[in-house]
Amino acid sequence: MSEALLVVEDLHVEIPTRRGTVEAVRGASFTVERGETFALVGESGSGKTMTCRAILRLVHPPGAITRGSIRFQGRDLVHLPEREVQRIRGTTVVMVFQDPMTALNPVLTVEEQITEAVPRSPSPASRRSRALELLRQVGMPDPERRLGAYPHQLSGGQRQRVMLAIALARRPALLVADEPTTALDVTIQAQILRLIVRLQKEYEMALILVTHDLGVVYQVVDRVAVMYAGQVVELATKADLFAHPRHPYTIGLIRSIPSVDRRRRLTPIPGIPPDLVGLGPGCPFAPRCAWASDECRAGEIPFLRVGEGHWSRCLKALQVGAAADA
Amino acid sequence: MPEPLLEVRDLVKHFPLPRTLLDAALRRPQETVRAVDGVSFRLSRGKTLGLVGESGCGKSTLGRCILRLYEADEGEVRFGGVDLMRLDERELVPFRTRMQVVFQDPYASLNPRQAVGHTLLEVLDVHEIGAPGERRERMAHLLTQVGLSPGDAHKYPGEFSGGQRQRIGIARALAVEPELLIADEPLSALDVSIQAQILQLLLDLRTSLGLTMLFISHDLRVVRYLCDEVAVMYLGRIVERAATEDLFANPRHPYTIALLSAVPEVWSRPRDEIPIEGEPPSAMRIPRGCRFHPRCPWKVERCLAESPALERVRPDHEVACHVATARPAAGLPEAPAARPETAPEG
Repeated sequence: MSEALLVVEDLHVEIPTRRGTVEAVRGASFTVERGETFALVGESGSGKTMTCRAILRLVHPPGAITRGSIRFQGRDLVHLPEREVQRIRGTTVVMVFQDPMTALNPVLTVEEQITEAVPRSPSPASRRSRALELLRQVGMPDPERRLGAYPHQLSGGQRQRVMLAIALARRPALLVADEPTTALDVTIQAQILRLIVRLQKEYEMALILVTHDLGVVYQVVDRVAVMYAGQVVELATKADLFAHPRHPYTIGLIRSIPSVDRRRRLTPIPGIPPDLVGLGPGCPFAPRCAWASDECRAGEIPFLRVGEGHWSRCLKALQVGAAADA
Repeated sequence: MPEPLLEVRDLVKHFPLPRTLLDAALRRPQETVRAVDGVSFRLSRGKTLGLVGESGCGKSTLGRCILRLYEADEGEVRFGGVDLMRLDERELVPFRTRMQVVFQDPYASLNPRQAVGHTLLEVLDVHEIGAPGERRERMAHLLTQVGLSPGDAHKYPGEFSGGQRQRIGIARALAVEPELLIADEPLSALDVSIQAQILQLLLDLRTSLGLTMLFISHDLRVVRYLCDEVAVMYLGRIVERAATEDLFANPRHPYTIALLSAVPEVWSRPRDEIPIEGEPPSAMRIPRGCRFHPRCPWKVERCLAESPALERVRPDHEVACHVATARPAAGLPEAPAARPETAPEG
């Protein structure tokens, strides 16, 4: 059996601060197949963004990957020399961010930024026409005129389209999108999400969508990893995750989302997420969990297989699941 | 119909853009952002009205005009029958305690160098709420009411999480026992699990205190959950207003329909795409006729020339759309076929 496109195993990322070491990622494990749509879901501080940055080796010092492995197309990204990583970054693995304004260069035109990403060999004229083609593919209104525009002259949605055009220039195998629509209005968000999904199919890329919005997850992805306090606490297909959640945090999240379709009762999760400095042993969700018992607070919680391709980091996964299904 | 607690009539707020010397030399016309461009609504005592729309639609400006944090250019803001716009600062003072506001970012509106208990006591002192000897007790009660503990009184804003700070913001607003609470995106900066907590808190407080609320939000899911009625804003105007259940079950304005179809939902298949095109135009260049027509798949010739007024299509349901009001019973005709997400400039 050939290995998945991306295999993340027991990833740890730590960031030393004046208050102590922030354990941003504490043992994240998951795989992403070729062409798959995968979501990393979690709230602020859950480690989802840091996990993605680690995949691109964009953890800035003093932060560092302290343990674990990231294999992409069979190569170990954690120990690859920086020069090799640079070759992969921006070509086979690309990332788009929540705020394209800070990711785009404010003093270069759209054309300059896209052609910079287009492979060197073709002539300037053909690079220009490739840039134009890319802008068309990302649905940029009036693409000829937009080639000469600067980022500040574009709307948020248009900037995100430019980011996608740049990302696609090298036909990457993996697109990592970190909250790509969070800063956008809901009608524009819908346009950009549809666009990302269409491009992903056309380019046969794998997609890691990082988001806090379970609605977006439900509408877009195949498989989901739910993150909490630096760990993947549940990993499942979308259908399983929403119909048969097996972790109390996932259940809490699902019950926290209001819906436009019907007025369901909301059951908020009590309390707040833990401080990631000096987290002790035991389940980090235990203080907010109705099912927690002494054993949950005692030691390391294993990532348990609870079904076909379904994993949960909860000792009570089966009881919790039975209650959720009922 | 009983007298509404709040009634806004034909409210207009335009912001002139700063002019440079060059603009003047070239005799360029003065440009104006027409943030609120003729808004009217009534809000009955004890009810919650949701004001929804995307960035730049004027919903926050409208809220600020009602509070007289901005001076509106035209129109009336009647609170308990009194037109606030005619009052001077001194006459306004009693009204300042009768309406309160909660903002998106409570951190920006709390003094970081003051313990929160002190902040609350100060509010009680300034507005002379209760007897001086009872204010400490009242402050503790406020903290409990919003789900904090009286022991939190000596902590500083920086020691609280985002959700807890929003609780403090709510406590401060409630300190003066307001009749009307204006909440401007109070949940937007919060994580999902915390958002649900604050939503539940607002719901509980509304019931227990009988608050009247104007809830400004871009999030239709939250509005559905909290509000009795909803007004949808687009480019400075209300384009649809209805009782919440009716609005969500029978949306009539093309923009409302598009907004609803764009909400990423759990538990429902992706909806039929409503092919609204492009992005909202700038509030400096509001289209002639119906301001939504450049993005509207249902537009007819009349929409290009004539601006539609809010008209009643059902009991307690008003729409500003020529096409929708021409078919009050049936709603809009079948949506035109969806085009790819490519979009011409709005």
